[in-house]
Amino acid sequence: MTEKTDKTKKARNSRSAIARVLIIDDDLTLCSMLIAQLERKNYTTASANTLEQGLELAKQGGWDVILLDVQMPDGNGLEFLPQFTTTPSYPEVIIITGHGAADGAEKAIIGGAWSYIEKPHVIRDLPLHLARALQFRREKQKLKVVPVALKRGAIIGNSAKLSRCLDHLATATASDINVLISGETGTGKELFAHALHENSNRADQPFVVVDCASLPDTLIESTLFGHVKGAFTGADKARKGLIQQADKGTLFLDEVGELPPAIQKNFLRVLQERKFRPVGAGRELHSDFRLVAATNRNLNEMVTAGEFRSDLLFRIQALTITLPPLRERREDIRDLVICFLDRLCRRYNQETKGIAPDLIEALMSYDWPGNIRELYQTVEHIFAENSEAPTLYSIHLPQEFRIRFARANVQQSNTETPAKQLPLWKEYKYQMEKDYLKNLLLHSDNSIKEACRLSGISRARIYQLLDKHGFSGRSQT
Amino acid sequence: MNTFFYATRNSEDAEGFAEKLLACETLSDMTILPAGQRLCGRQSLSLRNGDVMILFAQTEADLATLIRERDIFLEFRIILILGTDMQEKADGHTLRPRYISEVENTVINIEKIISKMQSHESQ
Repeated sequence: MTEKTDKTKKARNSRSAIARVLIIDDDLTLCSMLIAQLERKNYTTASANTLEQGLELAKQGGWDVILLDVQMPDGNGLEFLPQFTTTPSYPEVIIITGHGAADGAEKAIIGGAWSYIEKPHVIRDLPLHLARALQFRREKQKLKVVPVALKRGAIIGNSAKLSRCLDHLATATASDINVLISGETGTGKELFAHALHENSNRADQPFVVVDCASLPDTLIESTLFGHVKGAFTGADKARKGLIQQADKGTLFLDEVGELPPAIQKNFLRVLQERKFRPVGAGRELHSDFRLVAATNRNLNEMVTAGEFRSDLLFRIQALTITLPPLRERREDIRDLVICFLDRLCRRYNQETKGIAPDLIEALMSYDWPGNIRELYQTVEHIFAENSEAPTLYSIHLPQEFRIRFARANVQQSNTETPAKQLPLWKEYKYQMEKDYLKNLLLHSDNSIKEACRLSGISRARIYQLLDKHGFSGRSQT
Repeated sequence: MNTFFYATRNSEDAEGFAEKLLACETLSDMTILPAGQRLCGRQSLSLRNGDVMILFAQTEADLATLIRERDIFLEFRIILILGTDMQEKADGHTLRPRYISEVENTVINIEKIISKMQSHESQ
């Protein structure tokens, strides 16, 4: 990763730079040429030679345009496109590739890239693409952003990562494009899919769930496409399939990665033409549905392994929303716990329970591999076992959880603190002093005389410290 | 993942259907929750987010009751059992069911679906 450090240029650029351009390409010669070309025209530049480095730089923000190569040593640039376009400065992305292909270009544009340039022409064509992208960007920034009042449904939390997903959700509600929601099990993919439906102009129409993971192969075809009477043994009357029931509404394919190959093929046709043929029927029917799909699997890897059709993946992921695991949005745990507990109290007609800080602290220290679902199940367990307790403490946690928490704390204290996590000495000393005083007052029952005796600190100094930290003690001799 | 059965009211049909489900090997430990109590009895304390909830609504009024109370069901994987010729009722989708069947249908498909849900969950 190299940021140009020519002091003269940098000073000039920082005063009057046209824009900031990040180049992500493993071709070092091309990078140098582009940097030279751009800096001559007063752009501020930086380059990265892997996607990982590129993402790291992009996340630091401030970039107006990213030039992104497709074939990178650590992956395909196109697959990372949504991650680049949603970095803090929401940059315009221009794809540069030595392997021009119509499909790739289409995928890039649908994925949100500004344009697509083949490498042999990049030096010649880039200025025009860049100028247009920047003109568009300037006009976009001039537009007053109208905040979208999003109905969040049961989506809880205000972390930056969740907010970013809600921004994508808001973008998706404005159109009718197919959306893929990816994320680990228990991250709330169905809630997002439903919120997307509720905020779309199809909200008054059905939201139809297809659970691809639980429908047996023998049922999935007739469940999706429907059937006519007598189509197979047991088909004693005609049935509408879920595709037809989703007409004018939203069809939600949950765990789309589990669709059997034969159904993938048939469903691709449905997506292309919005037409389908019920099992045993002679003619096709039409259904106007919006598709939202969800998966906890890496569909690109499944495509590589031949388990998922690339053309179907291309169709379903016009826009992808990737939900973060709970361990990456721990700051939402408190709000989630409060919400779950409130829901349970209402269900069982109980008064609202208090939540002790040590419970939240314990819950926040765990990685939650089962994500929000696992957190909710833990809260349900605590509630069920302590339904009479007015306040819930960490002691109410399941024993195995408390053991794990205790062990993790021991391991953590045995591990050296990484340098970047070390607090400033002044801050650390202040906090330790405050904690010591708090304990001292507790053990001396707020008696200054006793506090002096226990600590060996003079009375005057104790008063100074109490004042400094905003504590009050019982003045007595 | 546990399986629960709930009907908005007591009826012979609901009891009969629950019995048919209990006779299936996969569903022999299914819990029948008290009808019409909106999941607030002691038995409901064993419910966990993501459990399977088989909801029984034989009439349109039963379905309307479930829809009115849907907030308490939406955190579960719902399998909706409707009365004869009600399967295609669009209202049923308000409950976001993973599968809809009718009271007169065989329970074999429900058993297969729950069995597949359980095996997928344990992967």
